Amino acid sequence: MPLLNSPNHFLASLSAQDSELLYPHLKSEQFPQGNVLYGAEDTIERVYFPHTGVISLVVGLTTGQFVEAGMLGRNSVIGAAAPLDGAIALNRAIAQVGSAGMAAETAVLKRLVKESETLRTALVRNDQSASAQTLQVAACNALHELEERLSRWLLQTRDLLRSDTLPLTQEFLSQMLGVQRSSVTLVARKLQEAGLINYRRGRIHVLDVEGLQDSCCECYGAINAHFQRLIGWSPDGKASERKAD
Amino acid sequence: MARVEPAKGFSVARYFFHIKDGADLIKDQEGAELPTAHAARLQALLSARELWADAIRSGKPLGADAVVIADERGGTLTFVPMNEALPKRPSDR
Repeated sequence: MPLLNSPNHFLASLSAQDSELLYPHLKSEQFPQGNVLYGAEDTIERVYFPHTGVISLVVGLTTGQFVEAGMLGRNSVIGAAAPLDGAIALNRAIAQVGSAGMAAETAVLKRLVKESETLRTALVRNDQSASAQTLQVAACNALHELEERLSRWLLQTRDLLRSDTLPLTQEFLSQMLGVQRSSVTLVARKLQEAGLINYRRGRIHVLDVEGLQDSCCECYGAINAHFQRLIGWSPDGKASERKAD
Repeated sequence: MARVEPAKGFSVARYFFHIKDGADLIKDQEGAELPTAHAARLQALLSARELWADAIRSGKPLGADAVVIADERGGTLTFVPMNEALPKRPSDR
């Protein structure tokens, strides 16, 4: 199993056969911070398996504004639906934090999923888990307070980066959360006074994970429960067995 | 030949939006580039409106008295008191 130790959960969770099947077609890929992997309605030519970094799925509006609908990284696959006849992107994917990983041509994967039902299932589950997250985020954006949303967002980013230091500007945070920068300034200050984070220009240090968990809404747990159930991933766990009911 | 005058008040610059809360000044450490001082003022108004909206929706105290606009050297240019951001009644116009 050549991919057993891959930092990417999807690759590491593949069966021995699927791992052998996919391995020869993987190439290294990198996306520096701010790079766009694909725009809405683009044809997704390559499927990306991140090892590091954070990829945001964002929805753009005609005013030029955009709001984040979900984030993925080492836990997932970017463009999982592309080899399943869903190659037209529904949203923009952008490297929120610079990312390195492996990529495979959509056309090649499309051929491989015809050979392997289990590989196909794994991609479907990944696509579902991304959808589950965006559904939860829709509810969260509509009903939850900024403090809860920001806390969730910081925890999710921290989980994907496996680091307490998050290289994020308030400008970027406010865009992702669809709020004014002053609102982020105020909430970040509040979290800082509570000893949960430390904010310095362009960098956020998470100081108290449990405190942040208390300050966030149920959506953090709900999103992770989806990941656990659909793709067998949890923020603290190592790559575990894929659940295939 | 018509002379092209630069737009009045045109001053692409980085503006900082601090939040004054009682004796505290919560500093904007990053700032934002805006084309004019007027755009900076509109930005401050938008910020103030959202701070009100969050406080009203959550029922929590409003943690701001004013949005202070400062330039890159730290000098205060102007400020928007929170009350200025409240919606007007038609009879106030």
